[in-house]
Amino acid sequence: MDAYASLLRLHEDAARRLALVLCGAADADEAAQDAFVKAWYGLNRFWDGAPFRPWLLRIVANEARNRRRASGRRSGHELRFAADRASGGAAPSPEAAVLATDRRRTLAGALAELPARQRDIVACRYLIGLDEAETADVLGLPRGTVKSRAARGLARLRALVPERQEIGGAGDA
Amino acid sequence: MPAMPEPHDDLTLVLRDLGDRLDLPAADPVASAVDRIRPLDAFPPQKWSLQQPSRGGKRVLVAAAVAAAVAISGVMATAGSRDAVADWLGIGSVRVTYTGEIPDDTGHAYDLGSPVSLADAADRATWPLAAPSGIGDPDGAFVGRPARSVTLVWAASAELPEVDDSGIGLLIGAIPGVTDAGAVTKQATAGTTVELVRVGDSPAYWIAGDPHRLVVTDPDGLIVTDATRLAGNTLLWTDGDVTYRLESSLDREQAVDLASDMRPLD
Repeated sequence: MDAYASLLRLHEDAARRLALVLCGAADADEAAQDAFVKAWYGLNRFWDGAPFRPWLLRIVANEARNRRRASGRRSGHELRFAADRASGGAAPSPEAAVLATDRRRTLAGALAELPARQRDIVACRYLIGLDEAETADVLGLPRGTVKSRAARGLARLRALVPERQEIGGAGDA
Repeated sequence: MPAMPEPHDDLTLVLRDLGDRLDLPAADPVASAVDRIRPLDAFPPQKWSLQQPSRGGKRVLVAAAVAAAVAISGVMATAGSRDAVADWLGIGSVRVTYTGEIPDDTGHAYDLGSPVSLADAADRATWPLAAPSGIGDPDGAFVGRPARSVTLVWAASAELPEVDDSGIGLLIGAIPGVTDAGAVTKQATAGTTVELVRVGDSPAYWIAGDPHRLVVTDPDGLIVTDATRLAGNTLLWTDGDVTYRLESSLDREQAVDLASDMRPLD
């Protein structure tokens, strides 16, 4: 059991973040917790050399999406983000920090407006940082579908947040 | 990677930055999950042991159950529940709750519903009524407990040892129309072991040890507390929207074999 806890700790961050983006803060940790329990009871069907992480994340994703369905939410939950942190370099001015927070809020609002089938994929790919194959595996979709929906989701986000400057200057020369 | 960045390539960078700032609630789902698993974990699923816990072991498990009940009570909204629900697991429409105690009436009465002929039972069933291939036709059929369900019963025999003093060797109940998770609840205590197994392609529960009982939320939302069944070992699985319960004194492999090879009853 301690070994299992250690194994979970390795993937805890990804699992919790995945649950959070798929079903929102109110249900995320219970979804993750239920998934961890189910994964334990499924271990005997799993130990065949397959990688643990995608298997675990798939169970987490299913739990999170079941909870979202059960709650009857149709629109996206708006995610909350930590405020600017000083990260080694110079701390942003208070004005810059407020602007950055506003921009993130705008993008978070736009994300919540995406259809779920696009939002889930954009969140897995870009918020969580799963690659295309992992996203396909975790959400149980063909890779082609992940690719096309990610592209449509990003295009939709750009349309919802048309001004490049509105979403922050990262990547600007 | 494209040689030239797309006009809004920075969008993915900003999304990544946003992802790094996701505000996770201050909770520890790993610790909570491990606490929930421990009390039910008399036998890790890899071991497949069927031994009953020793008396001493049982006391330890009960203590662990109390600890788990305290740990979970803040998470699950079960206020007002008569039993201290400390844990649950779900597959399909079946949920196993882990409770502090089971009422004494479990296993002491056998109200299986209204007796009918096998033909009548098959007529009433809205799904293809089936029985294990390896044994003969059931000796009895009952309907109505819970509503719309059919229970088939085989008398005790050399192949189907008697469960307690019931005269019954095997009982297979089929409950239709429950598709919501949690609609069928199997309540188990610390002395009960719950293992996830497979019946064909379906996940199934093997529940053994101390008495356990079934609670069914029927399609009309009525709750039937099925405290009158046998207290034998139970295999619980779903096929489509029908939930099956096989109770007997058979061991796990025998029960899974029976459940995995069902023939239609005409």
